Amino acid sequence: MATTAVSTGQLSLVALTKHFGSVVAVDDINLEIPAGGFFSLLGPSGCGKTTTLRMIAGFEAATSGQVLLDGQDIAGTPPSKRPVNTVFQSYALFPHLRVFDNVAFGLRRAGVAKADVKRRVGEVLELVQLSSYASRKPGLLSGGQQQRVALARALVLQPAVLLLDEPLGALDAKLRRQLQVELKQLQNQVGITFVYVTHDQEEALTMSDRIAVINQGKVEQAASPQDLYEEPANAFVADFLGVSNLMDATVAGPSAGGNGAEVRLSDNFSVDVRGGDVGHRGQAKVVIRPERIGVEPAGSPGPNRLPGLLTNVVYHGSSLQLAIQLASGHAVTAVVPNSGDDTASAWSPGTAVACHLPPTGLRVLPGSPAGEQEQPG
Amino acid sequence: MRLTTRLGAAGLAVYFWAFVVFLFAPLVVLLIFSVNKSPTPTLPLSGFTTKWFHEAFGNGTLTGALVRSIGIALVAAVIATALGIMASLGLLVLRGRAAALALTVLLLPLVVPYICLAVGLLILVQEVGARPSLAAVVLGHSVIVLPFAILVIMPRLRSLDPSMNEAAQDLGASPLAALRLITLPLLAPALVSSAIICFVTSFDEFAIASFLAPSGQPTYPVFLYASARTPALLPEVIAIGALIIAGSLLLVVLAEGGRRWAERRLVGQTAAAPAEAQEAKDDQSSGEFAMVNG
Repeated sequence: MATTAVSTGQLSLVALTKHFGSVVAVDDINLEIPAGGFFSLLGPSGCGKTTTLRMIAGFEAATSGQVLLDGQDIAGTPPSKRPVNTVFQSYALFPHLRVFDNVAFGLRRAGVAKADVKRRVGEVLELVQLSSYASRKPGLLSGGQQQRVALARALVLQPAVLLLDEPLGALDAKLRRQLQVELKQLQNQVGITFVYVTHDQEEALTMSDRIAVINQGKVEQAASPQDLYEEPANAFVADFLGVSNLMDATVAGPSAGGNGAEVRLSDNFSVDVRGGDVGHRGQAKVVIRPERIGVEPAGSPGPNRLPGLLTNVVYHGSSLQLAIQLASGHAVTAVVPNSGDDTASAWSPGTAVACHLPPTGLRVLPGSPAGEQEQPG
Repeated sequence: MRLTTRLGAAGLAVYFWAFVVFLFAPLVVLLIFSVNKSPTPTLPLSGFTTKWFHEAFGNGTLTGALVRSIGIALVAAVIATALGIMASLGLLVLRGRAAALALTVLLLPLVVPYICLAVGLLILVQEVGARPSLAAVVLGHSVIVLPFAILVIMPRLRSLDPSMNEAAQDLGASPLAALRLITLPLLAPALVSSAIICFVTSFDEFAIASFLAPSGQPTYPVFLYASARTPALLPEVIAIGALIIAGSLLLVVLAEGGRRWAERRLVGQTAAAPAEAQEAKDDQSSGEFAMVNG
């Protein structure tokens, strides 16, 4: 389409805000969404991620702020005129039209010549492997096939940006994982900017080039999946992505080595922390991922080790999930590989152990005094 | 215990059949006497004839009233259904108190006696300097059948996924094109039901028509009421009554058939479907599951 040919699909959200009555759904969101990437808006339900998507699509008008597509403010452009297409959570396929006519709908609205409609619909149906289903009504397709029709219907218009609103939410887990891979491959293939809304952190981590974690209408952190996981900016991000052990602690001062912080987990136990905001002093939260905790036999010597008591052991096949009550008073979860040796098999609730919290695995989270973190709603 | 259950079942059966007889006996009586030779509807039956049908159709006043009523009912049904679509679309957007208030106002003709509306309309028509006319009857009937149209169309509209309309606009359709290409075709079964209910209600209506129809141009119910005092006309009236019953039955059967056909078309179960449906099922068993289309 003529309108999309000049677009490269770079989106900027500038101070984007949406109020519904007295409710602030989206609160001053600033995001740069690079062209051609797979960008996810990740957050708990009701966090404002879908509202953000709907403002990009044009279904909701922003209370204030701007949506810039390749530098152009598209606020005044109706949804039908935006070079942006949406894959809806419910797919929103037209049940009275055949798959072919569903996919051809946008091309026909744009006045594309009949022969070109046929060719382009054929191509995109091939892309999503539904060529043999062209003459069926959507009601006869399985969930996964309907999802692909919705995708084809949006992609055929070659939009600058494709918006996806939890497109895999209605599918079962196995099919979802398969389609995650397909969707990511497809995105690489077509090179269109994907903006993907999901509440599933695993899905976002697997597929995205970049993720914005959204909570209560605000961006908590926008970064690559790896950075989000390894270097969460705050307790919400740490807790929302994967399992985190968050511990209330006090940062006492620089560590003996100098390049970290000495953190008091309790009156009797201090650890050396290298990650995060090590310049912080006073009350803070310290975080460590379960797989970074080393679980050793009781009394193992060395720094950054605390005695603990196993309170629960869950067998996961390839790994063991251990619930440990540390002597500092904190309850943590550790995940250790199922190595098959005697130590591991001897672990049972009540066993005394030593927990190794490596300095590089520990992070001081900035600006997160105890008790402020809110539950995802 | 068992005895009481049996007694209860028997009681229910008696009640059911009594109900059916009560409901349909008048219609059956009408059908029987429409082909009875005697000009008075009394037993015993005196032989078969189609004379009354011929006479009825030869009676210009009668057929004129019949055609008038059919015409008024057709126009009123179309107007009310069109207004019903618009009202339902509007009600879909409103929330809370505003929605409740708007719905109450729109459904008000259901609880206002037609005779009151009729008097009010007559005064209104004269106040604006017009005279009783068939157009005024159409207007009055459109008002009283509008609630039926809304009550039929609104639930169907509410059952549609609102994101379908958004999807159409997202794909480049103007709001009007989205309405025409997506919403209206999906509403079609409800629109057919609405038109039929409106037609029948208008056709049957007496009070408003008797006040607003110009003299010398009665609708069929008005004509019937007036001719009830003319025993000579009774056999013809009975014959037309029988025809209307037969026509109504046909209409209901056609409407239900049409509705089912439209519904099937919507979900795609066409004549060639069984094999396809089977394939879809096979897909399900391989780990995917079919979505039910709302």
